[in-house]
Amino acid sequence: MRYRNSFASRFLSVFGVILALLAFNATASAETLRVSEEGRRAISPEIAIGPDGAINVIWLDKGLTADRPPPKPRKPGEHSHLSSTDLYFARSEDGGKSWSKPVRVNDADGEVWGFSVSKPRIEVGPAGTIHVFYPANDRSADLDKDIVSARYRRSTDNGKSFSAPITMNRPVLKDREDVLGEGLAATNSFGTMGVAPDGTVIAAWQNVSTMRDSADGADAIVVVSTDDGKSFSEEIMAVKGNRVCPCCQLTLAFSKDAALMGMRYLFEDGRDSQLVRSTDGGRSFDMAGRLDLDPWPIDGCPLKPTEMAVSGDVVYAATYTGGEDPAGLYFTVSTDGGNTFSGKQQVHAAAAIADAPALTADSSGNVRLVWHAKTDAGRRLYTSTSTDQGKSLSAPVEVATPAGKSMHPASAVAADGSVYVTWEQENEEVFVTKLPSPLAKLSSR
Amino acid sequence: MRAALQTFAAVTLLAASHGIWAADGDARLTAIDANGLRVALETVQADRDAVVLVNFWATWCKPCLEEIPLFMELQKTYGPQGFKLVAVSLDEIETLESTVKPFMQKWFPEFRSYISTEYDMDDIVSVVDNGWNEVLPTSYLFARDGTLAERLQGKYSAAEFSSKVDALLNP
Repeated sequence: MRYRNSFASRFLSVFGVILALLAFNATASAETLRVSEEGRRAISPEIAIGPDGAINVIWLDKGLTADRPPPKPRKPGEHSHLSSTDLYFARSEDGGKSWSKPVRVNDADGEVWGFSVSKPRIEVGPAGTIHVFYPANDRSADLDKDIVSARYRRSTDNGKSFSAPITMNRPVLKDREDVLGEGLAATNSFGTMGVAPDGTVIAAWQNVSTMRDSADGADAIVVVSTDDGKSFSEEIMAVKGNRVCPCCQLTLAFSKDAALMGMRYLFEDGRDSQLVRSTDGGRSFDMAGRLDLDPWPIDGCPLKPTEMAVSGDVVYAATYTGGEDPAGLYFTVSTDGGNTFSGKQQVHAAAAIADAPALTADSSGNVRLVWHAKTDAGRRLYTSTSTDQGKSLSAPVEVATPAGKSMHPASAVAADGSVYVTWEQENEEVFVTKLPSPLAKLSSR
Repeated sequence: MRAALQTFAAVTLLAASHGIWAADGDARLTAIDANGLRVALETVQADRDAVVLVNFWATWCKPCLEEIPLFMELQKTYGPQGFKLVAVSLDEIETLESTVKPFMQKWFPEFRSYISTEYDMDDIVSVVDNGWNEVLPTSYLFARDGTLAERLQGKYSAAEFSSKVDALLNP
């Protein structure tokens, strides 16, 4: 019996691998490629498409696959939320058919702090400048303690090289190890960056220095560049009062005349998705709308961003919430520029868990939502579309990706309406694929 | 193989109860993968008198850390009645020596926990919950018959934990 089980197991394993390979080869488009280097640990990708149509991807690199474990000795600049990674960049100028050799963005080894729930950000401005924003392992000279700083670099040569880093936050003078935990005096993290249609660069992050205890929220801080990233303003307090969930990454999206920032806000009845809006180029923010989701009262770390896409005055949003019954990934729409939301829809009711949404909308308001979900075993990527301004979402369709787990997608829409998706593949590899415009049909698997 | 693993898990848990846990000589943390956790839970739940709380935590999750003293109190109060705690740290295994062990030594020297060796947190939590939403802290409270009584997400108070455990121990 033991032999038969073992033989059957081996046969099924080999057969399964062959089937999986055949399935992938049969359904993957020519543009489905690994962009991270073989043998390196790559996670948390982000993607941006510039005005020239080139596709730009960044990700966190955790070193050689062959080196994991063993545990590493602690280095200055690391801390209890340990993340000591490098930031890599690759670019495709032929619609994802081929990719440049990955370039390391940071100079100092292990400079970058980040996880799949606190990703680095990349955007391309109207002049083609590539803007990169990331949390960095840093040291407060005043406190002689580890901190996390908000950093920025730019490339004006299509990603061949990147500028020296700009640390955007003020020097840290207040030690908040009591709130953050062992060895970490301050964080300027869980942030985001966006580029407005006029080229204004806005970066935002969370400052925890005024938190009274771990049940409190952070403040949201913004800096603005009006010279294509050459310089940034002083810190601007965008949302104060310790109401921003400090472990849920901020998001930014732009309408014609406003910047919208998405966050999880600490309301009296729940820790829920809220937008704030700036109509003066990021110099001030006012409260906009709360997503029309039932309150999620939780004193913990949801690790859930509020994803957005904007087309005209229509704001599309997607997030996971535990407040709804059933809990899950929900999609909702605002037709008044983010003031009010209605029409919430659960995205993937059949999944055991659906999360990590990535949302795009083209100039005509055609929406593509991509997320990861578990229906049987590991997480896989799924997609839905809306071509009626978010009134309805198509049924979930699995995205053709290599066998194994596919997770934490990010997406960007091209001028022709097609959508490029990057994600973290099992065994820590970063891939990119191309999905058709929402107006085209995606065959069901 | 399965029998050997069960024996190993039983010995490990027995050793843990006597404070001599862990193969590497550290009394606080034992590395464990998804299969190991599955076997450990089967072993714990083989005792039909046990009410089991499985808690997933991390050093970077402050609400999680605020629950740890509560769990230690629960063990003292309800351990004699059959309450068992299975704590699993979801810190990256690479940080075991650099961060997690020093952290435990400094703040919770009496606390016993596993630490996951899985690179994907979901792999080990899926042993008890295939639909985990990656929220921390998350705990799972199992009744004496091994059925899941409740999933608890976010920080709970000592009174709330006591009430829930007491209700299962003394229905």
